[in-house]
Amino acid sequence: MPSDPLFDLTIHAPNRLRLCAALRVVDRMEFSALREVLELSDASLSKTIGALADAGYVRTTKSSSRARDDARRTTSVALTAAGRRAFDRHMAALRELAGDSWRTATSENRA
Amino acid sequence: MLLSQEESVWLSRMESNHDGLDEAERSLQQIAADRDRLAGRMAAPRWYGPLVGLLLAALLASTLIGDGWQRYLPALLGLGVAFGLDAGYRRATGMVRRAPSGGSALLVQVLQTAVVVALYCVAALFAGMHQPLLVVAVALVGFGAGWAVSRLTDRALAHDLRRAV
Repeated sequence: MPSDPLFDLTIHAPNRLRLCAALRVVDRMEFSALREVLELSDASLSKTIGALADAGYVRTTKSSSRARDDARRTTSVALTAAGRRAFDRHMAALRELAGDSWRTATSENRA
Repeated sequence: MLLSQEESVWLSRMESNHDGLDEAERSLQQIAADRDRLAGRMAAPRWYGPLVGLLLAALLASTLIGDGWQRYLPALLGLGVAFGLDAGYRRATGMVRRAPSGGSALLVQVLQTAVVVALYCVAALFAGMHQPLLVVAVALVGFGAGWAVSRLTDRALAHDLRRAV
């Protein structure tokens, strides 16, 4: 069901929006995978995750990993239910703003 | 729609300013580019498809085992291997996929279930007719089908992902 458009300033910052968009289509993702997909530095990604976690839009979980030689743990990031709702509504608002030009560009890309 | 003062100022700026619309479009384009990269990263590793095929072939070949409780042993083992495959996928890609919500992935999942059930019924039928060679042939078909469905699932997920919210 389409969401009601609602602009969300917490999400709108480019990296936060991209992070939410990536997490929206998976259950959860490891920090390293997110860094690769979003092409962000560790520091920038950590900052972005921190800001969204403070807003209650993402949650992080740490787990041990056999893939790592050291004692550090891998961090997984997931969107919360509130984050999903906020993102869907924000995307609806963005699409409404972008209007026909975006729809045309998208359908041309898919053709 | 209720907006805070800050949001109202931002929205009015966007709506009255062509740059604002460009910014909205740029954001959406950036998300589309990220989703393309994500689709590539989400694809199962090379070893995944053949192993799914082997798993299905083993399940089909298990119909050759007698009627006793031993018959269910391969299915139980297969379940363990399936969990192992899932864990391997997570480790290789660094992500846990959502249950299919898009049309294509759901369709592929229905197709996969139908193929497994149909092939199992055929294999069981041949096993009942004491035709082990035909059961092996069905298992070989199962191997190919499992591999193909795995590739198809990747494509369907990528397709749905690019059309997601």
